[in-house]
Amino acid sequence: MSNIDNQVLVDQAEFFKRNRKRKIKDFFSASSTYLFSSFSIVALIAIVVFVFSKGWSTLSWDFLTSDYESQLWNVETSSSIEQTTNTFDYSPKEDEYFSSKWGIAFTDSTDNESLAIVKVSYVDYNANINSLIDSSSQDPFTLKEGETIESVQLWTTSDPETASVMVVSSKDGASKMQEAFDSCSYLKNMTISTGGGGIRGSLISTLYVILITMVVALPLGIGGAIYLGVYSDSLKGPLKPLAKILRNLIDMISGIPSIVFGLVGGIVFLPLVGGKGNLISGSLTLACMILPIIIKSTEEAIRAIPKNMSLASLALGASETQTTFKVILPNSVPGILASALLGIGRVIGESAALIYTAGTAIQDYIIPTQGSATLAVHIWSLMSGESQNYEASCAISIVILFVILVLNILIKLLSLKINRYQKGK
Amino acid sequence: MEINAGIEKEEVIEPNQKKVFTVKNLNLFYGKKQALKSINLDIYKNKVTALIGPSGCGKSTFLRCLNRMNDLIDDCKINGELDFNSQHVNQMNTIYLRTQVGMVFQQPNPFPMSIYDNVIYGPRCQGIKKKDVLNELVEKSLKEAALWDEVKDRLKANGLALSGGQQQRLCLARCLAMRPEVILMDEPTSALDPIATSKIEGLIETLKKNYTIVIVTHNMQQATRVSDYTAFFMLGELIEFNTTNEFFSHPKEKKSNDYITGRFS
Repeated sequence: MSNIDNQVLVDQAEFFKRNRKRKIKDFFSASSTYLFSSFSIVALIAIVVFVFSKGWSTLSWDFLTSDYESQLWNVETSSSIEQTTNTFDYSPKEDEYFSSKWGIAFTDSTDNESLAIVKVSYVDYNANINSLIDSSSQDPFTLKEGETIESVQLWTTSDPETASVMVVSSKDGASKMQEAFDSCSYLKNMTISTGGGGIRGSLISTLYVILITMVVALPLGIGGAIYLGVYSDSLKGPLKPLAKILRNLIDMISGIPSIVFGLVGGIVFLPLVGGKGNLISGSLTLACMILPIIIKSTEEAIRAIPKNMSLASLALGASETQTTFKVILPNSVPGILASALLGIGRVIGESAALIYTAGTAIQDYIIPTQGSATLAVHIWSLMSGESQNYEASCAISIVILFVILVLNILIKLLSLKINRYQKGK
Repeated sequence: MEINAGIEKEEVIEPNQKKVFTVKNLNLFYGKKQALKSINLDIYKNKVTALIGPSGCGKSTFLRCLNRMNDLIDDCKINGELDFNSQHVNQMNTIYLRTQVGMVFQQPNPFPMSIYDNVIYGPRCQGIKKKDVLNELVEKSLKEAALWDEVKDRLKANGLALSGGQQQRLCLARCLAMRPEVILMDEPTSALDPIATSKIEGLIETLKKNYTIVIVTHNMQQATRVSDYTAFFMLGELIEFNTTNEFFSHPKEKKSNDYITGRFS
């Protein structure tokens, strides 16, 4: 009846005929996977290359540590000082423009937001320009190298009747500035600035947000994870599905877009802190947002602990709660840390949830009870204005990418430690 | 080692020996499956009782009944009489029962903490805080488990840094630190090499002066070497219970005879 026994299933000639066809098919199937997987790498490389090429030149220690608001001084010279002769000697460097009349050299430069500015690069020790006074306080003001000349009003003579006025600002460049200084003999007033465009305030407010968020989210998350990982197993009867429902709800929370968290956080937490968004209301919102991350990975860490560890504890006469807090919890610390790092990564990169709840104003002096922008919101602020500042935004992105890279490495190291327990060692 | 090695020793079940556990008509169900079928058995004080039988015969399940570790398993139902020092085990406080009936597991499972902390884990859970008491317990228990000389200089080292055999003796010391009356051992040497095994077997011999020991083993030679009584389980039933000498030299049941002579299929 069955003739399959007597048949050759794979005929050799037939096989090689089919094999050629199959090889072609296999080639296309396999190469398509290479192609598609290379796309994701290309995307990653493109992001890194774009961010670094745009932002690297802006990134500096000064960028990280200086204020966002620049400090401004209006200064003037007393009317008795008039500079009429070229008396100063200095051999200017290649990019310097030296006014031998005033004894001051300028260079072209860019500020932290990559706008063209003129910086003072040299001031002669004996120059009259050293005896400036602050216009508002009338205190003596010393012009220092590295400070920016925002604008300057120069007169050809000190007599207001006959003088012609020249106004030069930072964006005119260093050579124009030098020409103006050389052609005039009286300095009416000058606006000097230092720093500005830095992200120190946003860095600090990010640290505050991370701290407050973790202080709120870690105990809540660990508590929830212990319940799900340890106690919910002993639910009996009609309550048995409760753990599953809870877990599904937590999964659902992690799928909610962060802008929705921002809206709800704005409605729920803003009245708590007095109507105006501050770092506390922002952090509370973020805490709700990262709670599922912490609960899930902590629960995983708890479940990775070998069962015989808790059995040993119970057999020694420890109660279930003692077992949980003396054996299970201390051993899941690497997992809890990993979950905290995941949460921190989320917090650093979050902007949408903070715009409504922590404000978008970039501040330099951070108080948790006031609203201020974190790094991600700082980017949002820089890009949502009239002039978009790609350079500074990309520089901040490099900072964020770097922190996230470090966090990822730490998580990998910690999960190695968790795996040690999974192997039962 | 010959199966009949201990045949010269004269031992019989003495009716007036003190019983630690008395088991009458014990049945155990996992869901609908019956894992133990009307077990009747006595465990005698300061004796070593070996539970032998093929895999899945219920010997480990029976062992776990003695300190109620089966409570942790869902759908596990027990009926029948199981008395520990003439108290009903099921009416006893579980934690108190487990302080009196210690357990050593198949796999060495020290906690990932220091050797010192491992040993005093149990006493600490019972609220004992006095340093001198704990220190004494550590030294005494480790000496009883023949581990003191090997670890006395590194009590702060992690318990997991020890070798497998040392880890198992640490688990034994951890159990002894509770000063239990009974020690249950669930195949304590199956994960160990022959040298570590013989060390544990030697320990059992000395420990029975102060403790009652119930040991589950797959190894019949081990049963003849260490035990005074042997209970043979098969398919959830207790086939035969006798002194080890009697059991291995003159098994009463055909199934026992088949099993110890290797004809069991």
